[in-house]
Amino acid sequence: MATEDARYRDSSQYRLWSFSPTQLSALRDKTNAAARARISERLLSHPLPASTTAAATSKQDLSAPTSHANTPDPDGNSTPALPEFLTPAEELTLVGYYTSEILRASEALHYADEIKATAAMFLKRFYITNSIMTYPPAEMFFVALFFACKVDTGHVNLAEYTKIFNKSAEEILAGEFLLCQGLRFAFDVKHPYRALRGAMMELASLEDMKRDLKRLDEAEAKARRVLQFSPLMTDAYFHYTPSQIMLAALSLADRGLAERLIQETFHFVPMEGNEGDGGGGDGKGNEEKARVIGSQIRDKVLGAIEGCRDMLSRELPERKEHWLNKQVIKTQITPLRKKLLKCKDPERWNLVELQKVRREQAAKKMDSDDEDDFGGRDGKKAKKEEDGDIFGGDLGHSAKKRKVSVKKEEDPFGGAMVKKEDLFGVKVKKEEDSSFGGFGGAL
Amino acid sequence: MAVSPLVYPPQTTSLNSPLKRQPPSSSQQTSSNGTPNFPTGAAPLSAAKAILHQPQEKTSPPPSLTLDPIEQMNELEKRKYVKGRKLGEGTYANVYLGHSRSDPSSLVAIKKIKVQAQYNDGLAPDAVRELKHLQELRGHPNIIQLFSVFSSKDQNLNLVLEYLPLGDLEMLIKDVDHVRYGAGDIKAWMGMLTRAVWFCHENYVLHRDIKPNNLLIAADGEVKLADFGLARGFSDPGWRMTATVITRWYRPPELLFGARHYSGAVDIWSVGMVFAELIIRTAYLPGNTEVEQIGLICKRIGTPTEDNWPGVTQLSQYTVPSEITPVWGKEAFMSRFGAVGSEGVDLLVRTLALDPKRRITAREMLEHKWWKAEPKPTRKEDLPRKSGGEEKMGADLKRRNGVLEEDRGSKVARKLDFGAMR
Amino acid sequence: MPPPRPPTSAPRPGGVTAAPSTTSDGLPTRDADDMCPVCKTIRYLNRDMEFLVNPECYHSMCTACVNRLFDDGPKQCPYAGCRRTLRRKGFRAPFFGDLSVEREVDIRRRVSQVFNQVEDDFQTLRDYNNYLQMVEDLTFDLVHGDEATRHKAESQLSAWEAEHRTEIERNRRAGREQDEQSRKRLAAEAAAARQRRLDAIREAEEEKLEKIKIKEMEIDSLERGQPLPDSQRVQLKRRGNKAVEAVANLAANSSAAAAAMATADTVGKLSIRGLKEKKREPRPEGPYDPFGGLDLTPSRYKIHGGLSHPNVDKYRSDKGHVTGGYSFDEYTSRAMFEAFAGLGVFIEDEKEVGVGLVASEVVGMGAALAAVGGDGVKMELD
Repeated sequence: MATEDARYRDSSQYRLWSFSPTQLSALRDKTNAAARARISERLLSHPLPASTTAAATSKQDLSAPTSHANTPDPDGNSTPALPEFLTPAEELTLVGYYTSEILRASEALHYADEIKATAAMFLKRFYITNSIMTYPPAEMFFVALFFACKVDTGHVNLAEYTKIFNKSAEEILAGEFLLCQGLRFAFDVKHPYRALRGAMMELASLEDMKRDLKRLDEAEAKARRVLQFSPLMTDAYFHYTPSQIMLAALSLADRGLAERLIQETFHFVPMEGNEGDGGGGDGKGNEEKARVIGSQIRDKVLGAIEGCRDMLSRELPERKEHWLNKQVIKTQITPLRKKLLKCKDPERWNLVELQKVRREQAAKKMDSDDEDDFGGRDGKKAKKEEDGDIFGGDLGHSAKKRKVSVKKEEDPFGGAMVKKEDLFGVKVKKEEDSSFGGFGGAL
Repeated sequence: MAVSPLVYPPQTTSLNSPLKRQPPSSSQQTSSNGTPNFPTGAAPLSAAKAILHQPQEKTSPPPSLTLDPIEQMNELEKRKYVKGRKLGEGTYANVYLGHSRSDPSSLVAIKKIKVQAQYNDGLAPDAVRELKHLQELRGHPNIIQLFSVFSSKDQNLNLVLEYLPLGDLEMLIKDVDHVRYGAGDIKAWMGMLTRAVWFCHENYVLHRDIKPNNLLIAADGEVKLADFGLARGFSDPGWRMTATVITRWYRPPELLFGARHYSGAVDIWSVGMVFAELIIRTAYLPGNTEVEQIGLICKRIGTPTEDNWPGVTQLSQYTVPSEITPVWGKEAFMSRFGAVGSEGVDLLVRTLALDPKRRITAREMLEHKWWKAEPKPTRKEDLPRKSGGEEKMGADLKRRNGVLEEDRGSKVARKLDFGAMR
Repeated sequence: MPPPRPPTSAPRPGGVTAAPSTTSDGLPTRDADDMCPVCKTIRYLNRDMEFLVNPECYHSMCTACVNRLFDDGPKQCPYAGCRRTLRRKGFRAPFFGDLSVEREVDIRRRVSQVFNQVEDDFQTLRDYNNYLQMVEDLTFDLVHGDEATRHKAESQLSAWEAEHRTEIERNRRAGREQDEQSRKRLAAEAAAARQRRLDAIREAEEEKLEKIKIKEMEIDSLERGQPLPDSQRVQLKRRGNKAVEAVANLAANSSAAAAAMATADTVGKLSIRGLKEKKREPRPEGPYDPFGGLDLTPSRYKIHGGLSHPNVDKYRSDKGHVTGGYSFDEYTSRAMFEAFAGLGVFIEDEKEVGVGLVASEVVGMGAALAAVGGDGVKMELD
């Protein structure tokens, strides 16, 4: 296995944030459904003033509704009181819109490509497990940008930040922890920008390419423009690795160069024929090489890059205009935003308020986590369990006991007893080791 | 030396009824399938449902929040561990002993970072950096493992870390009276440290705070590099980094002179300092101020000049004592560091090259002939130990990550890196 | 130190039934006689009377007799037929009432001082236990054996002591530290047990996950109306792998045992099998690998000097970069790594099928969502 692939699989991007298209859409559907359920529940209980058991909406509350007028229809999941919810597709459109807003804002701030892209991915990742109906995207996108900056530079001056965006520090910080949690506390996003540089270095080192550096320059610039936009506006980061995304962008910029690089990389030809499987010859080393840089894997890589290329083509940099187009916004985005405002989560939408409630709850709980100490009352019992060796503990134990008793020369009785007990075993053992089975088990 | 605290650490936590504080409803969740703790398959479904109703049953008061999916995932993660007694308490973080709920004998350290404390720009950057890098640097035996992260109700971050009960290298170095060790032991420790640094650098991460008390020791004797609060990825050409990193005694001359474009060589200098300290059992260059630190380097290693380090005089904060000391040769080091043999001293001298370009790299260190020379590195199980490590781990982890005592003033905030923002 | 000879009166070997006032070895039990066997003073007359013994022969007598007889220098034991020469210095108050016990304790102490190997000196627990058994045999012979066996054991012991003097001395010194460390060793043992258990649990967990995964695959394929032989084969294959591993381990163990047997001595002199050779301090398995067995060499590309880029090269002459030690090699290798890392990672395939445990993460996410998701609505209503 190629070490560079194995190492990529260790990254949090692969472990936590890579999905097959089916998985990803299933997740988004589930998130959407969950939000509908929760918001319905909350909306229904909301009109009741925050008193008595208002907040508690258990199963019974729903099936046997309170005195409230807007009783839910026991068979269906919508009632006259409930608004129309956003569909998963509509949510996705809005997330796309706010991602484009992030890119626009960070461009205005002259942020580095990596920070822009990190912020965009933070927002997209966050809204995989959180619905846009639950947490306000217009707020979260500031939070994502702020936090991306913090992650990539190690520092950000909140005061400056609030001035630029005309937001209060409270508003930005209220969502920070929420974002971290939504990111599953994995803050590293791997981008294709440096990879593009690496690819260009490799290409530039090829003899025939050295004469055509202008072509390389142009391709790089074009590919970079693609990378600054297309993968962030699509789901490419979830379905492809940075190197594949990079090659797809390069192929959009100059297909010949991308193919050349792949050809140079996966060049291993084990035999005269094209079949890579014919074992023999060098044997294992050959096989391994064929697996890492042979023609079979090459074709597979080409397939992946082609797939990624298709995906990127749907949001080429030219589409930037689309997201800024007033007409588009008016017809496609604004209606969704209006719809969103009607079906927003009454309990979560206001981040600052939410934060306050959380703090109060925490204060009430008196830092209950510190009380999880489970006092030492059962200490002795616990100790026994701790000592016990679950693994064939018996064998291990008898061996240990024996050892100890023999070792304690201050206790002649113990010693003598062992002696008597094992007198026979020992004599036998000398002839046939296997009869000493007890210890065989402990080995 | 009283009763060793390591022998029976977990008894203080009750194991027979980990669920006793839960409302009755949650018990059925365990009885149904016996696995309340894993978020896969059928188990989590029931678990999640039970959790979902918990707060409602527990807290009837008005502003009670129900849990969203992501919060439930967090809850599931949190429930995998049981928090035990406190090992250390600080203003920045508390450290607890903990264990896995499913296996009470698998101990962990839970570092609870107080998010709201001090830093009023939200989540402290040290915590962010530590999380960012520990999430990626997984699976190396010489780097502290991050098992899990979850948040508690009061929005504090909880890092579930590997439990390292045998203290740190500083403890062993300092206890001259009770701990004896030899060249084989030093070689073993240095091997583990160098591998950790090599792994960081192979993953393009600068640690930037290597020192003996960031080198914790596991129950089996393995040394683990901890505290990634000052770590960062290698910077690209043209991007500036801050020069105020690495605890002063271990800080290389290029940083003392204010260099903003540096490399893994900064960590290597620190490794060299730890190496020297392991041999002489006291800090090698313990300067009280940055000026004094530079003075010590000049005196004991040699004065950086244009001859031995072209361009050095151009560095923004280049100042050296007027009396120039020529760079000492290997022979000069033999008298004080000879305990590790001629090969060992050779390696030490290479880590202490003044010009970072000429300093040995982590990979080259591992290729050095010292490792093949006698004596062989001691097996980790046979390395000298010392009790009382648990408290030490508590103390090490509760420290604000990567704090550089003298640097964390107003001066630093200004100095921190804005370059990358442009 | 001359070896203690057995008491003169012939002992009944291994006898269990002893006369009330004497032990199996024929030694007087001190409690039984309140009379000094030498001067015949009775305790009744001297309430403070104390008895002393000399480990040369364990014949007890009262303090007054000892002082009277041996203050002027070494003399023969006053017991009839005992020809041992005793010194005042050698007398002490016995700790045990039963002098045979006293004697046995002394013998055991002496034996343990000579045979002071610790478990760590042995390759396997079995070797250590065999060693303990051998020592116990010898001790038994010394304590309870008849004259001949005792002599034989005695000479074996002395021979061993003479032969292994330096080693014994080293172990003794280590022993002193060992007391200090024994607590720690206990801790380490506990930790090891924990680790084993952890591993077992992890393994069980993995298997469980696998099962769950497979079950899900089955369900999926059932939903799609496909047969499931494939998934079952996967399971079988994985199980098979584990079994193969187990067999391999077993084979390794048994070959180690065979090696231990081969080193064992055959006859005559005492020999300890399975004793680790001191010279092989670092594990016998292979030389020390400074890299810890980790190889991060790239397989798809090579870092070579020709790698450059105008946007990088312009900094190569920049003083800030050069003097500060900025490493362009580090940058190049990172850019190259990122260009090629993950090229052969096919997320769709891997995440659907589940490479390693990764799929479970996704499953976990889905499950948490499902708990309140689509079916959550139904859940609220039923």
